[in-house]
Amino acid sequence: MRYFPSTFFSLLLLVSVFQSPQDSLRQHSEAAEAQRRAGELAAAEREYTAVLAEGYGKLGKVYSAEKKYQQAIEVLESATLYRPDSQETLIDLAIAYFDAEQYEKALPPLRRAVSANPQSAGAHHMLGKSYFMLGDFASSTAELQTALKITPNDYDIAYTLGLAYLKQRQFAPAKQIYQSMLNQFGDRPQLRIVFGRAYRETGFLAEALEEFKKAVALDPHFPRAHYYLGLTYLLKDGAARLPDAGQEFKIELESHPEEFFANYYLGIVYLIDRKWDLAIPLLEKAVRIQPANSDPYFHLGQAYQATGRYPEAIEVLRKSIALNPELSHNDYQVATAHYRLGQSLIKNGQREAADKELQQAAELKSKSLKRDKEENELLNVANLREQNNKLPEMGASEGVIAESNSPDVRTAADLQNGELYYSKVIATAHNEIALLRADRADFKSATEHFALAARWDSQLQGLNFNWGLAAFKAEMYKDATSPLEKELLANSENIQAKQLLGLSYFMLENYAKTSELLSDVIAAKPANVGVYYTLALSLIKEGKKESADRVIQQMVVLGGNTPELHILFAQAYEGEGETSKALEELQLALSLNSKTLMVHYYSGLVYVKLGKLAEAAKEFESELTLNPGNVQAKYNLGFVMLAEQNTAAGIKLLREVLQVKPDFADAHYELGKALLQKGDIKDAVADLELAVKLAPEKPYVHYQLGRAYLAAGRKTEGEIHLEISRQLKAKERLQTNP
Amino acid sequence: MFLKLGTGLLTLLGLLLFSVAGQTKAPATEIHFTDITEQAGISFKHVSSPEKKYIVESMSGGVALFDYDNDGYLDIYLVNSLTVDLVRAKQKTRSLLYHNNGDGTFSDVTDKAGVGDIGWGMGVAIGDYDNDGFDDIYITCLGPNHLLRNTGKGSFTDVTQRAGVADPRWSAGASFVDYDNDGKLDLFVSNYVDFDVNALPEFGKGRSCQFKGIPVQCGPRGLKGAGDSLYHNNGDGTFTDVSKKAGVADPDGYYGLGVICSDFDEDGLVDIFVANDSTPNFLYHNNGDGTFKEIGFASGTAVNENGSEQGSMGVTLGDYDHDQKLDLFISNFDDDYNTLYHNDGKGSYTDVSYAAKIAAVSLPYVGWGAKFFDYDNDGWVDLLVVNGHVYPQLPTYRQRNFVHHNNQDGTFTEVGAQLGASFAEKRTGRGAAFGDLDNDGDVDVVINNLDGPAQVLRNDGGNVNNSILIKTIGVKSNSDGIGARVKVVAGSLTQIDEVHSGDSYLSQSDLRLHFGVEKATKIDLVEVHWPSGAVDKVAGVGVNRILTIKEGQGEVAQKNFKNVVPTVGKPN
Repeated sequence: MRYFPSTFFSLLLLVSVFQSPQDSLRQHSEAAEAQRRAGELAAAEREYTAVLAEGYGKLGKVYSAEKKYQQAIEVLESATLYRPDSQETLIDLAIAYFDAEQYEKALPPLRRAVSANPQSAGAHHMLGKSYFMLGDFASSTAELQTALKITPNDYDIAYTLGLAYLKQRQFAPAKQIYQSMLNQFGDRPQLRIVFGRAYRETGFLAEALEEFKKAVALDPHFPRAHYYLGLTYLLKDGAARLPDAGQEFKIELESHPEEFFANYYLGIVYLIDRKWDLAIPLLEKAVRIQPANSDPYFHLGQAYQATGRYPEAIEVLRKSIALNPELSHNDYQVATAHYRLGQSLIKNGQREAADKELQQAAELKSKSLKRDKEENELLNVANLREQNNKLPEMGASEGVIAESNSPDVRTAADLQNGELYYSKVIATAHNEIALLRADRADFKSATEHFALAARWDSQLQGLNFNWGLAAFKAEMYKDATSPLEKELLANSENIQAKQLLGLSYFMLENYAKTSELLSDVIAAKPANVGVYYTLALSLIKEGKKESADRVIQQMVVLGGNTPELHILFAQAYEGEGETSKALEELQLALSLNSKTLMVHYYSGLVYVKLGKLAEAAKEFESELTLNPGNVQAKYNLGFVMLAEQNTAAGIKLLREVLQVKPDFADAHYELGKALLQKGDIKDAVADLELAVKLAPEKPYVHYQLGRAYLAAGRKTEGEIHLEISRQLKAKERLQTNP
Repeated sequence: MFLKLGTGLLTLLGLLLFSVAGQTKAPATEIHFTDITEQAGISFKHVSSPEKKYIVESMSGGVALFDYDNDGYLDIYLVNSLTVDLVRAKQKTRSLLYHNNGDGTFSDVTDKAGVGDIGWGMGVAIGDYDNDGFDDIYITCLGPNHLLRNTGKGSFTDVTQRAGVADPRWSAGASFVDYDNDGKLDLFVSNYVDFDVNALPEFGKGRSCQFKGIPVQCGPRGLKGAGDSLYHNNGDGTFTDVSKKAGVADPDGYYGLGVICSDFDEDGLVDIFVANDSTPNFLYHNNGDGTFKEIGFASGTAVNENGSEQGSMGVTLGDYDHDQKLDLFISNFDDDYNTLYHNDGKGSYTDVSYAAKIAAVSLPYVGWGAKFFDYDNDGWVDLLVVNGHVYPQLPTYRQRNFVHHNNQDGTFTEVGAQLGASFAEKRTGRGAAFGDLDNDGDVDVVINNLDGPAQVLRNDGGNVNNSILIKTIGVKSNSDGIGARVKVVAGSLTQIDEVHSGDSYLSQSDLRLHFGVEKATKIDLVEVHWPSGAVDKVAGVGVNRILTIKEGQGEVAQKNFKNVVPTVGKPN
């Protein structure tokens, strides 16, 4: 069996189309291909790895632009694995963490970036912003000061530094920075707006008002200037300035009738003023401008309800809840939406539905309080800094309600294409690396790269077969089945895939599937006797002796009197309880070829059944001499050692087994049991917990874990597992004695 | 106390409500409230820290009007608090009991009565828990509460430990209530925040520690709440905590303040209402089997008409529209309106605050003590609300009080400014208690102001109209007749009221019920529905007198008001 060839040439074509000759992705791709052709496989792999670093980095940028922050984090973390020293990638990863509001996680990559290059303004800037969001304003200030020293004209850094000062109630240095920005860029309304927002967010409401007034004075028609002014009146003086706020929103609408926030807030002002008829058209317009925003629907619901338009109220309130069911949104708005909906339903004569909504409202209000308490508790108990800081970006939309600022159609399409392109680049590079690793028999690693390739492009030619083959060769039979199943779905005539899958199922003791698949395989009359042997054995295991006989006949015709044939006969005898005949057949197998694998192993198993442990141990040892990698033989030898009270040797063997096969449930169980007997309770618990995790359906594993917990003084847990063991046993009894 | 803004502008906007001022139906202009504090000899000054860095320094104190020595005159008990600094310095303050001398003056009898040292006091409720004919005092505190048993000899004995009603948490409201109609007063206590003076929230730091951009004390939202307590009276001087069994323990820890107990759905069983700060209010419906079901949301009283929980503080009940059902009023935090819930019957309520024209005026104010009472004896209950902010950092810290005059058409007009200088003064009111201190037929008011002197406001001129005071004495029911519902018919006026222990804000008003009857000279009918189920009816009673009705015996005494001409009826 061999692997499908490299697909990298097609990648080169792809890269050539999308990338300029100067682009490093293209350069690495070309270099990789050249090295591969030259037979410089290690160098080729280095280039492919560089392609991966580049590809993951670029894909991370695409995801970030698409606001898919969690995906961005994932791929950028991968990028840093392949190129740990790339400052650009580290900063991009930190930005992704920042955008995903995981500010604490943004710090380590930034520190690495700064460590590699102390003059990285970008890293210092992001550190400053991250510290800001974590509420560590002193550290934030220090980082931003450093960043500003490196790039003194950076508008964004200066602005954020001003904010950090304001957060520490240091008004003078903030004002000084903002003044220097005015000196540098001139007195513009957009700057005044930015400063006003900074003052507003930090609680300097009087100063914010002044800035917004200056913006209005500079340009009375500047977008949102009147809106910001109106909003700040409300924030500063509440109800007392409602008329002034309303007036500003009206002026804003004169210049910008389609401005969402002005429509929305003027609607709310009228709502507050109980001028329902004036509020409704404004809120309806806000709904038209931002149909996916739950907030205008919420307030429209109140207006409809107040004017007795209950069916409409019910409709928009349901819409509001559906659009944003997130409890934390807008101070738990959804809880109130359920209440209002309940009230409208009562008025509409739908008492039963109303009661459900009222109940939901009560539960959500309760949850909201719990959240507030937990948040506060966390801050107090852990002495953490407040982490709900706002960092009003200069170009960002109003923070109170997220404006829909998704990319335009063309940009979205470009990003989508980029996502597809870089995914293919990554998939192909993983595939190439996997092929190189498989060529040098590093099947486990090859399997991992094939899996990664499949994640990014499952349609890559030959991928599923290669992946299955590598997994099979790595003895990762469970991992082999899925890609091979997919390969057969796409290409049902692929006999090699069918054979591999059949053999994998055999190793997984799924004899029915093995028989089904390998019956198809031998129909093509392959020359490999092993296939017949495996099929015959599966059929024997299934109890289909006649079918097995037919396969054995074919096997004899094909291969003559082979050791495998006698192994088969031995297994058949053993299955019928005729152990001495089984042992005779195994001896015959050895007489034909004393180095035939598995003969000693099977002999050992027969001796275990007969209770002849010393003989069994000898056989397992012989098998291991012929085949030191036979994990089953080693496990059984360990088992026999333990049974013979040779605890130290048994434990040693089982630990070796688990090093090779850490998911071997029975090995964990036997090891845990032995450790428990030895009095090593802590390690016993650890192994038995793993055994339970790997084989939760086995009552004896729970029983031993229960005992171990009790020995460790963990009474409640111990009793729980003993009870589980009892229940599983009872279930087993029911299944065996229906 | 309040719903803080933080950065949630929508919350602000959702709460702010404006409206055009209502049309005024002017009350009788000759009525005014005179501040007689000093001349009456009341020198009590409530203690609190000037900065109020912690929420616990903003929430005290209650006041009680009750006749502890049964001499026929209401005495005054004013609850005092402490500060964090005083606690650390191990210093004390004194709550004071003033004896009414019956001549417009009062005497400080605190020491003799033994009621001065109560720790960090919050509020007070009155009830004769042992049915010995003398009213006892329950004082809520930060820390263990106090049950002070009236010895009948001018002094009180602290029986808290024996009675088992200490509740060591931060208690606020309290009410004696016979929830199982066994004739013995049980006790409900609302608790506020799980507050530890040794682990104080940092001033101005955190989401709930900012108000309109200004650093302020933290809470209550976000702080751990404390559950509530219901103590069953065993009849032997001890109580059993049945909170959990009864379903009123408040496991979620809502911030309980004002409490009032009443038969909200008129099924013959008393229910319990808790005004919760910054969280939905509770209305516990009495199932009649020792348990309650919380029906706040279903009844419409948990939140306001917008569906928002409010910063509920004080609470009172009154039939403002003469539909023979008690309506519910709650005072609230600023940028939020005080809420009037109309009783639609069968346990259902509608927020009519704006329609009743009591909402808009209240927006910039923080309301506390409040009570429906008929200050001008026109037979329609008016409403007094005591105001004052919690943040001394604000310019609006001190605030004037409201009197909403009942326009007799379902609306009110705020007329405080017309009722004397005391209503123009800006203070930081908290508890307020109402009662006819001078037995002259009109209702006077005593206010406990945070960090300042108390005020005794004498109603002058309210008795230009006629009225009657009704004192209830239970026999099978508890001796105070707490929970008794009284109907008074005088000509075309039919009024109802109920005897309540603890209402307003952490305070106790006169247990005698006052009914103004305008110019009527005769009460056609007084009907008392006792908690036991018994009904007493008295017909043809003269006005301007105190009428005592005993369960099963009807009228047992009458006494004319002072300085007011009595009309039809037996001479005094």
